[in-house]
Amino acid sequence: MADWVLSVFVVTGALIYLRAAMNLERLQVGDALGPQVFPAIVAICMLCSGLMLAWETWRKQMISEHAAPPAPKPGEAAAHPAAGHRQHLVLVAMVAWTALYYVAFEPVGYILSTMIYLSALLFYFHRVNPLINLFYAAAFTTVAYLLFTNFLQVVLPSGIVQL
Amino acid sequence: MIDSLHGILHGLMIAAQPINLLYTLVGVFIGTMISHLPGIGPSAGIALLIPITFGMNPTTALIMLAGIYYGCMYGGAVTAILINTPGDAAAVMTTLDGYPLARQGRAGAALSIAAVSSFIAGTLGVTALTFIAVPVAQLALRFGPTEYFALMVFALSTVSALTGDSLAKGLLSTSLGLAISTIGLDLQSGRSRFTMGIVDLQQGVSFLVVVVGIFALAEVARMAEGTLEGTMHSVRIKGRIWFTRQDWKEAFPAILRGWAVGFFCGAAPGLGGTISAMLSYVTEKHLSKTPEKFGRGAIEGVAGPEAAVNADTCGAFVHLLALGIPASGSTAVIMGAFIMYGIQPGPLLFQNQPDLVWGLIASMYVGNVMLLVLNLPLVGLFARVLYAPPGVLLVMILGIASVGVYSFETNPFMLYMALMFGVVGHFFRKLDIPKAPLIFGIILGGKIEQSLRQAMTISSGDAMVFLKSPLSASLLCLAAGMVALSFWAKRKSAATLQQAQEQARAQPVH
Repeated sequence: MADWVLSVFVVTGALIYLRAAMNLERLQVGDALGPQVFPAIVAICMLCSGLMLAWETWRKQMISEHAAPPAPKPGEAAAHPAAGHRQHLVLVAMVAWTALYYVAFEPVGYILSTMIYLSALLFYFHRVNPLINLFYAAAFTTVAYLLFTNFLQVVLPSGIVQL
Repeated sequence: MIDSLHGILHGLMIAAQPINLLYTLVGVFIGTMISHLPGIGPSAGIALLIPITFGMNPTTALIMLAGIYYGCMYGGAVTAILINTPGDAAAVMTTLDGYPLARQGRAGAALSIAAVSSFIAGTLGVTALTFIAVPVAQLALRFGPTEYFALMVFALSTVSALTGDSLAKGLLSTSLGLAISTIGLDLQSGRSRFTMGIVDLQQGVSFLVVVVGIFALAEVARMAEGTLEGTMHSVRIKGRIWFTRQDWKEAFPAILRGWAVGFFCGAAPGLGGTISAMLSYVTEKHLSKTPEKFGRGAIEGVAGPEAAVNADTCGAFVHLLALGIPASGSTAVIMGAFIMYGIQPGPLLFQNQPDLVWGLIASMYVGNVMLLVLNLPLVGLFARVLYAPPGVLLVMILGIASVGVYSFETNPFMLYMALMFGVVGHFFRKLDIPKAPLIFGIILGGKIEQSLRQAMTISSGDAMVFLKSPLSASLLCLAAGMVALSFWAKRKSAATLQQAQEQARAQPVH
């Protein structure tokens, strides 16, 4: 099912990209091809890959319809749907939390935003004494800050914490 | 030959400078550590550490990044042998016999034979690289835009056809990479393309952002899943770390064969370490008088693939340095680093940057010795990285990736882009889309478009120019043949699977 959705997505994306490529302004002067030909070739390749994927998926489906379902590997337990759902939720939350960190990166400053960001993740993924996690977050932030600002001469945002 | 000898002697003087020796050691040390971290492969490791090298001399920086690459390949066997999980994809064949040997209490023998095989094949591989790279570069100097275009099409079609299980997904990944490379200012007309009015995209999508997102951030998602599932467990080494005389007698011919297979595969674009390890394993099993031992703890099953993987890394550098075309995902990342330092790999590198290219090659000899010295007595110490809590590890990787990406242009837009590519990388993994062709597309996209446009301008718009040059025509035919062969092979394997399943159904149940 996922591959069917992917192939539709790819074909649609390729058509949009092809249209955008064809809409690029052709110049009167310059090289023989201009800026739109190469993207158009790439769009056609992408379109072909989408169609080929649909064909491959259809073929796999035909084979699996005629074949016996594969036996589970020894020791392999079926994933519990609730566990899979929880995993998805955690990953979505991680992406949202990381996006929030990136938004806060400059206004709040590297040190404070990074410490809060890392501490929260550590509390979830490394469930030991919270003080240990706080120590890890503070140590990482300090070492990275010193490394980048002093050794690599990168200016990291100080934000609301002025050092 | 004489040029190469002069070059390598000059390179050894550069590699022996204290700063370069130090960074070779740092590179191979970090590479070995990375290879022990479950899930973090050489591409992600190099991508994470590129920002740290920005203030360095490019020669020193590239020596360190290359050290990470071959250090990673060297150490990939440790996790394969100890926890049945390859430290990098190429070490997958080592699990087949390495893990059974470890379970028989012979982890020390397996680890030491893997280290010695890697050293021998790595050293022979660098020697071959030393003497082959210059003639290949001299040949490539005769290439015009037509031949370069055909060569890049060949490289892209090979990597699309041979990476992953699906030709369509390989092609999709390559096309997506090429499409990303078209974002930004068109170098010939000065017009912006596909920037959607975003000023930050005028300079194009940063290669570093894509690599960190696709490899490092996406791997963090995989590690998070592993932590939640509780599947990331570690084990401890027991026993003496050395092999017997009988082991050596069995392993030595396998090492030499593995080196030959690996170097050839590395020098061919797109084949990569995994295929070379597979070919070596199949060869050893085929030649063995006791093929039934394979899969149950055959020492040749560890020695051959490990030698092949390490020789493959040297073969891949022939391509990268002499032709300016990457041969694998990791060398594509290293090539990206070259470009970020303002150095264009390719045939002119040997003329324009002899210090860099020969210093880099010579550092590989030094690095191989360092790896052997580090790995044999200290493998137990290195393996302690396996016991690092995965929860802490994934958080630290996120921290390094974020500050590294920001430091590149001190622009938060880069962070958003990296996060977006992290999500894309996660879906790539979930949907079994290979990542290496995407990186190839991004790296080669600009060059391939430029070569195409130059060739067409020279020929006054005549597309037949690509077939008039014998070399270009041969390469394009090879590219088409590679795609057709992959299509046929994958169709055949599906048919074989169906036949096997039908046979299994027809078997009476006892």
